[in-house]
Formats: sequence, structure tokens, C-alpha cells
Amino acid sequence: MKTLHISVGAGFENDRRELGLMAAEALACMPEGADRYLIFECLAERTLAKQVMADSVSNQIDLALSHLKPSHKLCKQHGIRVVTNLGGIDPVGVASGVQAALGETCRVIAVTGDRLALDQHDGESALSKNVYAGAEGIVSALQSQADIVITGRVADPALALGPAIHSLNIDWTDWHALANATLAGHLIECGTQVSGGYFSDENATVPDLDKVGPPVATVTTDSITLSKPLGGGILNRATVIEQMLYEIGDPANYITPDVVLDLTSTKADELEQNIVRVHSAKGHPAPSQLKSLLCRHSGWFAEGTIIYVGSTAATRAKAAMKILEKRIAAPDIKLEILNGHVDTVPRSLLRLALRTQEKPLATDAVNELEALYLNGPAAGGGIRSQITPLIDTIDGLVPRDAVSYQCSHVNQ
Amino acid sequence: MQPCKPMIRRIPLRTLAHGRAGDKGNILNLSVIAREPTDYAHLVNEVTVSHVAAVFESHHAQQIDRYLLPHLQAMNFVLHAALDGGVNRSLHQDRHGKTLSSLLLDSLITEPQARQRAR
Repeated sequence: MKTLHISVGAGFENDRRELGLMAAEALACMPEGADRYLIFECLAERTLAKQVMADSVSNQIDLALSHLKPSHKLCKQHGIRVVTNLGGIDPVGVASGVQAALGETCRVIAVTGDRLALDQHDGESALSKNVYAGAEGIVSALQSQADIVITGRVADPALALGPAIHSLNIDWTDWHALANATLAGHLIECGTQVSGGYFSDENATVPDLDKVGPPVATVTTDSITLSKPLGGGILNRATVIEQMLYEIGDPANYITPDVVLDLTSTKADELEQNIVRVHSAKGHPAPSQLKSLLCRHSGWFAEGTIIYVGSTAATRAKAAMKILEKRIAAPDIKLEILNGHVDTVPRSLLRLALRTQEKPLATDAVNELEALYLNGPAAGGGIRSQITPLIDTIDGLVPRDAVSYQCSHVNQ
Repeated sequence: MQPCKPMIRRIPLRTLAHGRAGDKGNILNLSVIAREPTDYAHLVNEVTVSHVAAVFESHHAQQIDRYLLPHLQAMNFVLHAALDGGVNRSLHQDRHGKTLSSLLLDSLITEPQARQRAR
């Protein structure tokens, strides 16, 4: 039966940078005769908005290369193709930078079409609007012999679904096969969360969390065999089920752009140590509309902390809290105190958090905290504070026919 | 002398289950997965929507849904509007609510009969 092997080099933007190389090494361990892919999932909901607000394409290129470079040589050597959403708000810009850095022998293709034009209904403070694209653009890029596919906003499982559709020749209406491959994506898109990372059993039972190894998904049209060929961590029925249900909502009805995944008869069987077989995922027809995400800059967060130590720390922290309650007139404010010990020394940490539409109110709040250095109870110290933008994300729906994808080979 | 009535022991949910918190906007997802498949039926009886509502009373969820997956010996809870606006808006230290699985797993449930007899 035809298979492909997929591993993951990043489950989020700031994942351990050696994970990609470990994943390439893990893929190199897999038996010959099947296509191999390496995915990097690096976009959170607000990432695109943050990129619009504060980032430059050169920063995004640097970020992309920090993930892609360590494994690049091994990927070339073993014919491992890379699929990633590190394109962010500017897939062509990022792809160009990656192409320039990695050289001509590597075929880098950017997939665009997820970005939607902003209109007046989106409001003055709208930053970005994108659909969650499916696997279509990724499949086109792979059909055009891409070594590295760089997308913008896609549904996370599409990073694995695209390779599966391409290598297994899955029809766009073969709902069960699409569901199976989508589930494979869902299982590995959070990196080591399926192979022992963030696993809620007592830490002692998960070895070597300082070097958790990535999962490899070996995908057929109707099953997924997950393994962990190297590194620390553990991959068993429990870790797999925990990731399977992660953020799943209604398990009968997990809506993705290309299929609706139904987990109500899915099974996970432990075959041997660190090898689990998942099967019997069901699929239902893809939705007629795609989810879109509008990001708006709606205000500001102010946050800060101050500490007190010693026998009367808690009392002084409470007094400081009362001062801030009197001085800061803001409806959306939280003041809380953490009492504990550090090396047998009592410590109280007073935390302030505030959200507001008016930046001056955020600045005032942080100033009030700092003013405790001179005006507050005795011996407060270690003030830390920050003001960050509040970005709202608003879900929408877009008819799938209204969206089309373009592939750009940036070398040309 | 009258025989003593058997004491019904309460144990933390984490003894019998594991799980993970996840967020989507202002919605909290909490999975509860039986460590031993034979404990699943007991967990279904004990870890009800009311039980979860009590654990998360201070989060003021608008609605709590429970989904059962008997073939995986697991449940998924979806708590709507439970995250003070979610990662974009929440004033909590943990805006995603990632730490909240610990609260559910710490909550007390009745010890299953089989375990009581074995003691």
C-alpha cells in the first residue's frame, strides 16, 4: 500500500530550532520507497496582524531561515520536501529571501491567495483579513516540483494534507481519505505535543524533556502510523489521544477547508514502544464556505508586577494593591497577589493587568505601578511592566469559490 | 456493636484520568481521558457537565457541552465564553487558559467501587 512519511520541525513560531534537524534525521530513518515531507507550523491567530503592525519582511525571512536552515542540507540529501506557513503576511517576500539564502538548486514556491482585501466594513483599525486556505495551493506547488512550499494562512492540517493528496493521489471528494490525512496533520501540527511534550502525566514518566524527539506520521489512504524514531519523550496511546482531542470542539464535526473530520469511530492502537496506529477516521463533505479571520487593533494592554519579601510581604503587597485601586480609574482592571516562598524567604508578587481603548490610560497605569518605588509601601522592588497592543480577531465566512490560489516560483 | 457504614472515598480526577486544555477564541476545550479503559464508565457518571461547571464557576461559562468518545475512553468538554475574552482580551496571567486542565484534574470524584473493594 502506498505511504508517505511526514514529520514536523516546528509546532509554533518559536519552537526549538533543532527540532527541524531532528525531524529530518527521523525521516531519514524511515524505510525507502515512500515520499518524505517536513512541515513547519508557525502562524498563530494574531501573527499576521502583528506582522502588519510591527514587522519587516527581512525579519520574517530571518525567522523562516532560523527554522529551515538547520535541516536544509539533510532534506536535500534525502529528497525531503518542506511545507510551511512561514510565509505569513508576505509569502512571496519570504520565499524570495529563502531562495536567495539557500541557493538555486532548491526550488522554492510561494502560495498566495489567502489574503483578502480590506473594505470599509472592516473598520478603520483593521490590520489584516485572511481566509484559512485548504491544501489546494500546496498541492499545486508540489505538482510544480517545489522543494520548499511557503504559504500564508492555511488551516494547520493542510500542511500535511497537501503532501498526502499529492503523494497518494487522493481525490478531492474521497472524504474518508481526506479525513485520515487531515487527522495526520492535526496529530503532528503541534510538534512534540504528541510525542511526550506537554503530556499531563507526572513529569517523571516522560524521559528527556530537554530533547523531545519529533513524531513521524506514516500515512496511507486509511491509516496513520505514528512513531518516534529518535530523541527523548514518549509516544503512546495516551499521548496520541491527548493530541487527537486537542482543541477539537465537537469531535464528530471538526470543520476544515477540505473535509469535515469525524472522530466518533477513530481508534488508536499501540503496536509497540513509541509506535501507535490510528485508523477509522471518517470524513464528510467539505464546507461551502471558508473561515476567515479579520484582525483589528482595538486597544492596549498594560501589565506589570512588583514584589515584596520577608515576614510582612503579604501585608505590604495588599497595601500597594489598595493604593493602585484608588489611583487607577479603569473599568477593565485586574489586581492580584501571589504569595509564596523563594528559598524559604516569603515573597509576595502584586500583578496588575488592564485593557483599554485609550493608550494614555495604559501608560498611566504603568506609571502608577512605577510610582510605588517612591510613594508605595516600604521595600517594594523588581518592577516589570509592558504595554502591548490589543488585537481582536473576528471570524467570518467566505464562499470557497471567491478564493483562488497562486503559485509563484520566486527564482523566475 | 453496629457495623460501620463503608466510607465513600473521594479521590482527585487525575488519579483516574489525564487531559489537556486548549482554546479557540473565547472557548475552552478540556479533554478527560481514562488512564485505564475500565474506568471510563465511572468517569462518565462522575465527570458531568455539572461537575465541570462547579469546578469552573468563577469563569462564568455561558454554556458547557460534553462530548463522549467511548471508543477512545475519553470525553471532551467545550466551555463557551469561559476565558474572559480569550487570548486576545483576557486579563488573566494565563490568557489561553492552558493551565486550567490542572484544576479539572485536581477536582474530587468518588472512588470507583472496584477500587474500594480491593482496599
